[in-house]
Amino acid sequence: MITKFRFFPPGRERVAKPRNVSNQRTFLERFISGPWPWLLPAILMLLVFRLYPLLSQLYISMTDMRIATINQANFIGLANYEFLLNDRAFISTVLFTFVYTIVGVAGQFIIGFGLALLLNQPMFGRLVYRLAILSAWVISSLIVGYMWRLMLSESSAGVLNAWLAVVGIDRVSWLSDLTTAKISVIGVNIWRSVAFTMVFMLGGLQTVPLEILEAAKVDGANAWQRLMRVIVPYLRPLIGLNLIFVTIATFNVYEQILALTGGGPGSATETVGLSMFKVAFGSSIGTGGLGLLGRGAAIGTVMFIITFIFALIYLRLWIFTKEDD
Amino acid sequence: MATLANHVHQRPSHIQRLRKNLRFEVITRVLIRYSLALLATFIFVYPLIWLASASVKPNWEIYRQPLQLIPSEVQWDVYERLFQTAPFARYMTNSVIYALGGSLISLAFSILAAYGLSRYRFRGKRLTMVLILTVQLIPGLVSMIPLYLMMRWLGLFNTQHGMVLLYGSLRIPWAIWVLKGYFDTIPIELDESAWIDGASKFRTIWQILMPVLVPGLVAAFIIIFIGLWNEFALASVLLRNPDYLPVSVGTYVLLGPDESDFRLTAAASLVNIIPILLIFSVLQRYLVSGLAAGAVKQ
Repeated sequence: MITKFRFFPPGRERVAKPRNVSNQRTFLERFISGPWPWLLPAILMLLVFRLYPLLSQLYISMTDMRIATINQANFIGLANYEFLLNDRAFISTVLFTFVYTIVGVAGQFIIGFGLALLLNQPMFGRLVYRLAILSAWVISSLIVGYMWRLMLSESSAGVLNAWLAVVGIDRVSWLSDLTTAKISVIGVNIWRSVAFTMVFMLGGLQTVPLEILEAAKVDGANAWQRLMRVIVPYLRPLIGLNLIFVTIATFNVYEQILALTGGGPGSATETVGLSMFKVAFGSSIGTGGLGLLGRGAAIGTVMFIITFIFALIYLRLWIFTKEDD
Repeated sequence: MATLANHVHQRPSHIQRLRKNLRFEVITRVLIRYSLALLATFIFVYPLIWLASASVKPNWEIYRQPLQLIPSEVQWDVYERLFQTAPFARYMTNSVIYALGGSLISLAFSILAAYGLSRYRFRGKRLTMVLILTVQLIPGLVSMIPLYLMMRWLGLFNTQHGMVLLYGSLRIPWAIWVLKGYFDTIPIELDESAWIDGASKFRTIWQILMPVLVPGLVAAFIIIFIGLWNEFALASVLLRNPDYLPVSVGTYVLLGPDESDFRLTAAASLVNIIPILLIFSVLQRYLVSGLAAGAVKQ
């Protein structure tokens, strides 16, 4: 007698699922044997610590809550938002944050991807260079801020000016001039994010099949064409993902600028994140704030909306171009 | 005939010239490559070396030009100030507690969730994954104020366990994505062989999958740990008791927005960086592979 064989192709479908059983089991039994118990702890954590704050922020932003009088908040509708829209300083903060983000993300991506391409080439001591560059990324942004405040110092101890003096360029007031302060703040952020992009893209470059590159070479594509026509299209999803992370991190930057310039001179280098803190908690950590939780929450909501739009654009760019997993 | 002979005659010198050009080109290319790599390394490493040098230099030497990296005399007094006058030892212990506790909580919760997402097919799985990613994309910073109110309301404001719990939640979505990628690389046959031998699912994870996952777990752990060690915004708002502050907030409390003592700032910065650099240099292999995996395996 021939035994009947069933051939299962390799894959997850092999988990045997008896037929007609699911109908007889109660909802609870099905729930317990399903995937949700595994997911539940993590989802609960996220609901409590991430989602609930986001939702309750909407309500807080419509009150006049202050740190001194937390329990006596009055509902004031959209007055906080109205105030922000009419606040010149806030609008220019938002604009600066956009410039900061766009220039910063573009700069770090070009340099980071360039470094990834460079350090993907066979060369002596490649790992050492990679690690040296990556070491900048493990430093916290607060400390990056402090470190560069020293480096950019306008006293004779400032190392960047000392170097420029060697080349014969006069002292630059990196942090006290309106324009140069903005450039410095953006530059420091690029310095910090480059390493992340480099490692991220190096990981991607190692997945590009050599056969495609060889084929392009045989067809007479030069290095630039191979980069633009083969490597970049191949890595597109990864590039999108990288841009999500860095854009959102850059847009919501806070402590780096707090340590570097404190938002100054004036409020020229203040980002939205920093002004939220100044409005809501400032005085208690020493930046001279107002304790206006309601208005701070309104700024938080604005940040959330802008971040969320970024996230959606990128999710669309990335997730939905991928085939089902 | 003559032309042919000419060609035959010309060929070797032509090829020689080509070879010479090629060699020249290769050499310049290599030179450019190395000088760029060295320049980049310099730009990223020099600030750290300079910082270390500035923190131990005598004060007058900091302001002296031209700049000298090697101090004429090593003075440790600012470090003494950090650890004896200011409670930096306490701050560092707190940082270790928060970062370690937070990383372990995140990993425990994410392993379970990643297992569920990797080993089951169910309706809404894709949506769940996308929602988790979306949560990850929204930084905790934007909901700072409601978080502050919620922590007060839950009695977790200004407590160490509250901080650990909150830190435990911060990186869960990221860790789920990365660990799911790792789980997906393990063939389900491995699970099945354990089930046939009568192992429960928990035991399968603990005894069969975890050993295979160790490199991935270490990578995820390091990345979470570094992120939490460096966290500043939440801790600065949610902790008031000076005994509870992590080293990042402690540094800010000490230096503030406009401390002008060069050496103190340099030393305090280094104290923040050094533990992380140590972990990084010991475990860099995992860090790099983890970052790459987080990127690629999705």
